[in-house]
Amino acid sequence: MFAEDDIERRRVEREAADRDYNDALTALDAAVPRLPGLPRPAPAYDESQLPGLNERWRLMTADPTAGLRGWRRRLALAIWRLVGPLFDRQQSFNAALVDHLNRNVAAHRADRAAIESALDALRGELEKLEAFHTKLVLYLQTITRYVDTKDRSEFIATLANLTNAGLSGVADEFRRRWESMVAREQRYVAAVDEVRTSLASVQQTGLMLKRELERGLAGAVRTPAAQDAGPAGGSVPPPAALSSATTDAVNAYKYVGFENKFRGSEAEIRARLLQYVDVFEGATEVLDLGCGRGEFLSLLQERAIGARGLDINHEMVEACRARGLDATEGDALAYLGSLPDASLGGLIAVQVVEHFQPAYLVRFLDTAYHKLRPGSKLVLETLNPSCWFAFFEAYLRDITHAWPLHPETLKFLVVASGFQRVDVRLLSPYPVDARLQPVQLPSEALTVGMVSLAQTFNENVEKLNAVMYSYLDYAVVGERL
Amino acid sequence: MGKGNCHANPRKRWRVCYRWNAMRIAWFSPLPPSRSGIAAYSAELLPRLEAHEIEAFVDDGEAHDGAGSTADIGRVTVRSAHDFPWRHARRPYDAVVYHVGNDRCHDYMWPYLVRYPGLVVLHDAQLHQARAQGLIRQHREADFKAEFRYCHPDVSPLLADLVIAGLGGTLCYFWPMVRIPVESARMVAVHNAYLARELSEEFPGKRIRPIHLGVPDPLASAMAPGGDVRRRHGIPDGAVVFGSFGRVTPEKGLSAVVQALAQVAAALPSIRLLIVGEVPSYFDLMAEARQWGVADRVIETGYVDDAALPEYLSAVDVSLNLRWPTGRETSAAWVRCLAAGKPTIITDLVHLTDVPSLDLRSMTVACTAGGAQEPVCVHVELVDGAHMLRLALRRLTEDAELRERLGRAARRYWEAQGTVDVMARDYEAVLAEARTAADPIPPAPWPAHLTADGSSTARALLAEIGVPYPLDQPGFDAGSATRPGRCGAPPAPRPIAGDA
Repeated sequence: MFAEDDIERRRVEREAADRDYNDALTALDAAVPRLPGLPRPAPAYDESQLPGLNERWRLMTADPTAGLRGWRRRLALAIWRLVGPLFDRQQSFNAALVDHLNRNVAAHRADRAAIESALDALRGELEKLEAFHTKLVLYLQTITRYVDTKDRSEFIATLANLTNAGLSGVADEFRRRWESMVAREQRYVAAVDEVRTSLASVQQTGLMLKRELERGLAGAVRTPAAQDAGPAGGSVPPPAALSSATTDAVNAYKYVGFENKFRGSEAEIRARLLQYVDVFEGATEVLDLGCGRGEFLSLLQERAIGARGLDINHEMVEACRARGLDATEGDALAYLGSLPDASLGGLIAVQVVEHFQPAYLVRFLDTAYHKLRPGSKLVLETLNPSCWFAFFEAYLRDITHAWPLHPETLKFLVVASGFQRVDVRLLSPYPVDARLQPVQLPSEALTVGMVSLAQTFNENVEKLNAVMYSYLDYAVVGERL
Repeated sequence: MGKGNCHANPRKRWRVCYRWNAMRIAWFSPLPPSRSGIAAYSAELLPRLEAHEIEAFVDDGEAHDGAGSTADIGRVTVRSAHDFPWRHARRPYDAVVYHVGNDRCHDYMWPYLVRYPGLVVLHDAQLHQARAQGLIRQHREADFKAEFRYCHPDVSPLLADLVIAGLGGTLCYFWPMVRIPVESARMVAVHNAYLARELSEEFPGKRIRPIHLGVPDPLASAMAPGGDVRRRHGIPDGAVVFGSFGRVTPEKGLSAVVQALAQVAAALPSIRLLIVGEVPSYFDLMAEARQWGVADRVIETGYVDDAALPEYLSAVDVSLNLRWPTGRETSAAWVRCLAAGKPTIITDLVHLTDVPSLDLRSMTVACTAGGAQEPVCVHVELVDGAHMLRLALRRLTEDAELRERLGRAARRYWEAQGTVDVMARDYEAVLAEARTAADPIPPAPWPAHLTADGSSTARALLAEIGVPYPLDQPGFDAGSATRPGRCGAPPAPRPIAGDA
């Protein structure tokens, strides 16, 4: 592994060497010798006068008195003796000059030929030198490419491919194993959750058996008078007692007034309940617990799903009956207890279970499990007390609410009662624009400090929104298998 | 008690407003005729959202029929993405939706999704390859390195050089490079719950919502009988046909299927493998089939258009929907097979563990959703793939009753979780949330090229002739010319250097 500064040093050195090399090559290229303008050979020796000179150099004949006789001859001889030497010297000079000229012709010719030959030889050599220099530059230019391609030779490419294949192979194998391991882990975690739930159910059953056993043993020794007085302290009160406790809390007509004030319009209620109709598609004998004015019963009737309602409030039941719906007035647990096992095709209770005491709720769920047929669905919708707004503004508003039920708590109780495929559906999200709003920084305020501050603030807003203004309701949906 | 009587009124008022509050939406997504799966997805979804005013923005090269045209996707107007900034400046959109995936057809969205935060629908949780290729193709290696460093500050930046050198391979899957689109988004939607949880853990405080992936009902129109397809391709009567749909790629594991087929073929004379989709030249599956001696059992149809697909779907008895490696995407092709009531064989992937699937080794149902579940498909583990594939081929060929049962359960599963209506409902919810969500503040400064104003070339050209850049002149109010005045006040619509 190379250190960063080492790599940087290598890069700088490499770039410097590259630069030097290119500079040297440029200088060499600039120094390529250009072919000089060589002098032409001197003009050829002028021989044009030589024939004439060779003809005219002789001034006199061999005997100037030839052909003369007598005194003429003698006179001529006398005169010749006077001028003859002069002519003789002139002729000798002429002869020597012409001879000189004649003999230098060959030398001149040879000189010129030699000069021409020398210039040709020089030009040839200079051309060769230029070509050599050019080839030298070209050769040096090829070195860069040669060195580069040598680094990228097929061996290196093959090695790179092998490295790539190796890295990818190892990575892929690792990821395959990791993927399978995590998939298995997910299933193990889910399985452990199921085992834990089943264990809780077994524990609960054990406790109930123990309690029933203790009650049976106590009953065996109790006097008839004591039996008349009701169950032992701390045990689950009978349904009638619970129901009366609820209804006695407020006069029925006052509660009707309360509901009329705070329940929505019928259209709103129907729209809200529409989501549950699909859950009971194809079912028969669905029980709507807390059927109110019968909005959901009407929806089921429209889809030809057989259903009946149960409500503890006489006015509500009458309202249903007036619309031709099948509704009964009564307590939930008492009514369920009166039904044969596996006689219901579905059970829904919307905004009901928060009115139950915990012990009553547990018995209600156990009973519901036995009264539902295998394959039938259970839907329990209630307020979501984990949303603070829902708890403080809605849950506390109604004095007949007995116990707030956290989604996880209700899910656990439903699972512990034997239901499967239990799911929590979060409903009625609090209006987004009514939640706490995060800040948005104008672009001119985007300093590091402000960004950090705004980020922290917005994260806190998110956290507060998550607990205060999340989902107002939820429904636990389960199936009796 | 009962039926909504427990609440005070503000919430009810909101419900009424919510239903009638249509939005003006900018929709960045490839669209047909692009063959991208997300193009088909958008085309199927958009008509269901027509209560809103939606304008789709596509890559300039794909803006079919010219700008402002209306494609066959309801009332949606299709425009070039280049038109988005000025249209947004003139009349701001309530929400901007970006469909982001690991394919080059999404490259054009990047300059916008950082500048105009919106709802990012992350179809793949792995964007490394597409983003790297997109930037390197433009010779923007330095930008790629900067984004890699930003997305994965804890790993050596030299890994980016490894990718630039072409040595990334499947290593890329370790570093998915999703930080920028996630952090730049007002909120993020993904198509499976596991991925939503995973991203929420990685980006605490971000709004990340799972939404269902829906496909239309292939049985809605009379499904053509598959008999013609079988006759056309010489498939004998009584054959049990395993089908693979879509372009043939190594990710679909068909080489392993051919090998497994070769090992069970002798005992299962009726088994056939029908490959429905384009076969690229670099992947000669038939050569592999010949090498394994099962060429007579493998049929390649080549590219089949969408209209003919139901007929081919009808012709198969079992669908092979293997995928590896994966970007945690949910396969629309697989959901389509479920909708058609076909038993399917899937790869056992972490993000699909909440789907009830059958482990043929123990004949038990594997599902993290809890409770006893009816299996809707058969899974094949990655580490025991060859063995489980052989088991699946053998069992599903011989056990018609099991095929029937899985097919019925698959259809029910689709009805509950995979219809376009279910998906549209989810979209309504996330769009409403995205509309009012605040623009994000990046926790660290973006890589410089993501916030550059794109003027470097203009500045250099003007500097050469000695002219100052006009926007630098005192008194020039760039904001008044370009800044949109929308809710949430997004930054000025200036393109990113080199990207726009």
